[in-house]
Amino acid sequence: MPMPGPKARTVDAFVPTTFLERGVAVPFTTPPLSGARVRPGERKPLELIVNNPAGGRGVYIVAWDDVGEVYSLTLNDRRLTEAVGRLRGVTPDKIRHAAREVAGEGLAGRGVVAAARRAQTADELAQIQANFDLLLELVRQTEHKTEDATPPEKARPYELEQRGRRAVARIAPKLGRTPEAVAIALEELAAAFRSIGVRNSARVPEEIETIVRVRQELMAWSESKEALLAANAADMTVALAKSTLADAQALPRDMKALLRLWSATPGDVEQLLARPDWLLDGWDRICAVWDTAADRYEALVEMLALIPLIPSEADLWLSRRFGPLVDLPHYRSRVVRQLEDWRTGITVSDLVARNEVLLEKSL
Amino acid sequence: MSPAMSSGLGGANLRMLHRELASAHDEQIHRVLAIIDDLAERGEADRLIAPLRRRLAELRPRRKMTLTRLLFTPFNPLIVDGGRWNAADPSIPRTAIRPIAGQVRRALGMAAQLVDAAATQLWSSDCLGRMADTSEDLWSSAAQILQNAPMPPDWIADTGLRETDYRELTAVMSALLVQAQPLAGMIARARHGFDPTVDQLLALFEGVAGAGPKAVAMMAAMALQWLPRSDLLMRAIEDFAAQHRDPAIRATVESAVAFVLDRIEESPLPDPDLTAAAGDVRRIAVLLENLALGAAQYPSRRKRIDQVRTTVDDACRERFGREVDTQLLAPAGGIADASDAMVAGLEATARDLRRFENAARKIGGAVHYSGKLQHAAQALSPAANDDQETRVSRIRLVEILCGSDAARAMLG
Repeated sequence: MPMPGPKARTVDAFVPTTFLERGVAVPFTTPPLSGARVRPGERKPLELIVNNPAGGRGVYIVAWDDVGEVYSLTLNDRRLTEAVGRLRGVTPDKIRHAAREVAGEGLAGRGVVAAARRAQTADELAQIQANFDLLLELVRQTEHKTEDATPPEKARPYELEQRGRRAVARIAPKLGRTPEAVAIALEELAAAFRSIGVRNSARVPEEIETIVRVRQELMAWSESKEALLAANAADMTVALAKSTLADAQALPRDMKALLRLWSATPGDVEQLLARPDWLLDGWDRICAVWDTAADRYEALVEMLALIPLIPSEADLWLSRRFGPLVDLPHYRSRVVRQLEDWRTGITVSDLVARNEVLLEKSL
Repeated sequence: MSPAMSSGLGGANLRMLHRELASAHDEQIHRVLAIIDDLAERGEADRLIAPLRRRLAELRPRRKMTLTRLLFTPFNPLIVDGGRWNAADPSIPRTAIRPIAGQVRRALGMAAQLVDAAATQLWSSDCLGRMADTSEDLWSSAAQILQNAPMPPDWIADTGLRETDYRELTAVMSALLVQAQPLAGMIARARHGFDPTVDQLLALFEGVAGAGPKAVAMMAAMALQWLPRSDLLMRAIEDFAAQHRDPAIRATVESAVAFVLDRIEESPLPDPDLTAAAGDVRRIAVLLENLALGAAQYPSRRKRIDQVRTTVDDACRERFGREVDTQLLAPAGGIADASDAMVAGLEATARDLRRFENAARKIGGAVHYSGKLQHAAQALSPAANDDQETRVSRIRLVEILCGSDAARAMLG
């Protein structure tokens, strides 16, 4: 297992207090970078956080520009580091889109190309669905009860379009905006809501369901201390994600207030809507490890190494203190995965191939 | 071909069926094996497939487990053809399998059917560790049965072996079967990266010590071939020899090591499948390395290890070159029109080759393998008329074979 050289600094106790400090999971295929995260650095634009391969709380921090020198990156990851380096700010959504774009080049395999296409198509459909659902909400909340007996969701497309236009025209003056500006705002909000959904399921609720399923399968397989640890972390993440998802999905219940807020402080709305994504960040890979496992014990070991700490910032997102957070890194030193060694018969190529499968499952 | 297994299969009929089977396609052979596996009485059926043993070794068909196979799986590393068996070696003649298994089956009575039913959930390709739960009762019962079972009346006629051979074999097998479960447990845990302790390994030898030096030698030969950490095993054997202060133990261990080395030299890479061959190379490389580490005080063993290493090295180089040409470069000639599944197959082959050379270069010829990989990468490099998808597929193969720096140069 290669160790970073002098260009990396070590942090013995990595206990981030904010999600940005924790960084965003980057779906690398380079084996030593499994579970690595990117975050804004103090001096340089971005830096990489890599789990200590020996386990424990320690991490390595590498300036983003030096990542290619410190680690022998796969071709896909060379492209990915370039793409991430060009980003202005990092969020789970931005990293996801950068990863999909790079994956489309095919350097991580044809399966990943197809997965990136499917994910992009699903996103586009989710955005259309969110736009439609927001319009339905607007119609429902602005029409007089006597105006149309047919509920908007049962209206024919042409009729709904007309009713939508009327609803936009009706609310625009109340917001001090033109109908065109309101229509644009609805489209922008649809993009912001596409991951969490308005009235229909979307990626975030589906990811929560996946974590719940994996947790159930894990506990059905084993009730060992390690399995319970992973299950507890999953429970906490799911509870927090559901709570923030409910907050986000409550916003369209008052479309007038939502549109006003979007007009005044769109960044605040985006941050609120992004909270579930920050909480779930990294869990898609963890679930993919379980779902693709040839050996469930090995999968559990790897999952424990990947489970992210929940920063105390999560308390501020909730109306109450959630309770003590699980100190997972404490256990990591006991369950360090045996990586590439010729005696195990596992080569770098095998580990990269396995990571490509994880990438395929988590785009 | 007629797969009917009626009674009285002999003489001209048997010879005719042998001729038909000799010219049968692989799929037909698989079907015949499946029919034979389902027979309650296999005696004549086994005679029918006896001349196909070599071809079966090449086909390596995945076969349903039976009581007989479960019983003898721990002994797989010891089994040799009847004609080549030597009573002094730590081995078991293949001809002894059917009569001994028959004795165990008869003694078990109705319980044998339960074992057969449970065995159908397992396949011959499963590792010993996976068979442990199903086999625990069988192995312990068989150990007791073989302690006192009288020699079958047809033993000499069926096996060509002597009465004393029967007594020695069953006594030793009885002792070894008691240790089969702990050994299988160690193998299962080793698959998860948990090596047995020296004390646990020592207990295997103590467990068979009462059955004599041959049982110790057979346990050593079994453990050397089943367990991945032969260095730990050799330490356990050293401790065992030191505790018993018996010079004969040393000779016993040497005979086990010699037997294992002979088997490797005889057929270093018996499996025609590249993935399995890569695993074999790794196992042999680890074994030779660990045996060499402990051979400083044993010049003859060291010399023998070097001889075997040379043989394996030659076989690996020849095999690697052949696999690169036939399994990768030849099919990659059609990469421009290849489906996604075909490209995935080529990538899997390239990874197998990396696994193969990764272990093989520990035996020797590091420069040879680097040269072969570079040659392959050159042959796979993008052509001027490649479309983007083909170009990327070629570059990925180069990345798998030679790393991302070599591939990057082709990326442009």
